Amino acid sequence: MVSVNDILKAGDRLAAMPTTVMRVSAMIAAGKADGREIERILKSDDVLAAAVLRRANSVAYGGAARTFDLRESIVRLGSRNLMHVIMEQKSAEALGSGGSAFGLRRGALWRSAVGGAVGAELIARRAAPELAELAYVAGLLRDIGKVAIEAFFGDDYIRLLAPHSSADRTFVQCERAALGFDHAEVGAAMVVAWGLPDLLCNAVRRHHEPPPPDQPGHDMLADIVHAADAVCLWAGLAVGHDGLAYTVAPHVRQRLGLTRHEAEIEIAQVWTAVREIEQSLNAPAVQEKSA
Amino acid sequence: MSFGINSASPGNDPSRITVGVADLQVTNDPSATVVTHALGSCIGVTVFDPVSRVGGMLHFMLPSGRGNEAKAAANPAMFGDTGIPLLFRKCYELGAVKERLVVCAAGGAEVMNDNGQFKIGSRNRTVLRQLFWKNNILLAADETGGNISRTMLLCMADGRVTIRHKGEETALWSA
Repeated sequence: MVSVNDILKAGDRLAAMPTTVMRVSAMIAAGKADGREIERILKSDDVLAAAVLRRANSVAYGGAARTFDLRESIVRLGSRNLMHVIMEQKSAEALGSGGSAFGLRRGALWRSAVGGAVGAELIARRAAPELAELAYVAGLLRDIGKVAIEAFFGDDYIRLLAPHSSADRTFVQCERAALGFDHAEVGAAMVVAWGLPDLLCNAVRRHHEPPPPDQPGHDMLADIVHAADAVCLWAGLAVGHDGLAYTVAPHVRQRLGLTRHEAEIEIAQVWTAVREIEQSLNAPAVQEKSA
Repeated sequence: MSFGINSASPGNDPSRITVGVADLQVTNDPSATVVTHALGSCIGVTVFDPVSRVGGMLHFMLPSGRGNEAKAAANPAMFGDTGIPLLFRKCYELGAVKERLVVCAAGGAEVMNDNGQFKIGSRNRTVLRQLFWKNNILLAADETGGNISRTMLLCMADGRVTIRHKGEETALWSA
């Protein structure tokens, strides 16, 4: 029987995300932006520097004056937006070609990660503003376990799950029936190994089944990431072989005030934001792959 | 000739026209296959005129642009109530005739325990049926609901519509 550790130990699964993402995640989680470190990261990476220039000249930040100067772009965007550009660009490099084991087309895993980040931040700003930046990181990393599982099992994964699939089982229940764990648990183990805070680990682990407030393990961040995950599904950003074989926790709807109207607005906002980010980064376009 | 309101991503196969989420494409190229992937709660709508050989596909995400007017204006294909009329208009511009159109739909899935709370998929299905009812359009075939992901393909050579799920193809409509 394969264990979570087997998956993490085999090969270099912990390198699924570039160390830059981990360093910036830690900065955001600690609420401390290290300007010098951010500038050093940007200046050592031409692709990132180009992404920062494009973002600084985008409609949202550019205004009338175009700039071709990195330092001016850094000032214009500010540390929060710079960290987001770094996270989105570097995760595109790591996730852009992944996801086929889960029936996701090229680029879809990255779009889902960015959608989760944007969606979780959006929901947090409405329901728990103090968690907004952590929610962004947790939303981005929530499905990182899929990368490790894909590296371990390859495209055989879905065949491995098939005998355990049934109409009344969610996708994560199906994974647990086949393996004894699911992709969220693998992702949480990776987040722990990277030394990121427990709060992030808990949100990644429980993003499909957040415990209600009266049960151990409950926290608002997990609720927020869970809601953002549902928004991504409805926005068509993360639909693979698993389809919509998930549940939405009733307590999350109530605690976050996620009405149908609110959900529809957030679905449209998240989809639009992901598209704009994709265009501003020149991220890999989603290309055809059989569903 | 083909055109759409969002950028098509033809990939390596020039005869394949890919319709993204919140996107529509129409064509009169008989060698083309129009395809959309990852239909979850979203709905794919195909139209095909067997005489003029004009056809198209819409992949809409949400039922109505009401309350989201700016987004509906910027991208009408995002919503059923703005995207469906636009799909038909684009096909008419290429020479399609309403009375001859073969219309199919797929998608509209739901999460497993929705219990009437969000009903994104079923509300997408409802807006589709309401619009068709009001405009005297009959669905030739549809495969909607459940909680699965679907890929929808329209073959412009003969109007055949197929649905692919986990690599298995089934015919939805053929002449």
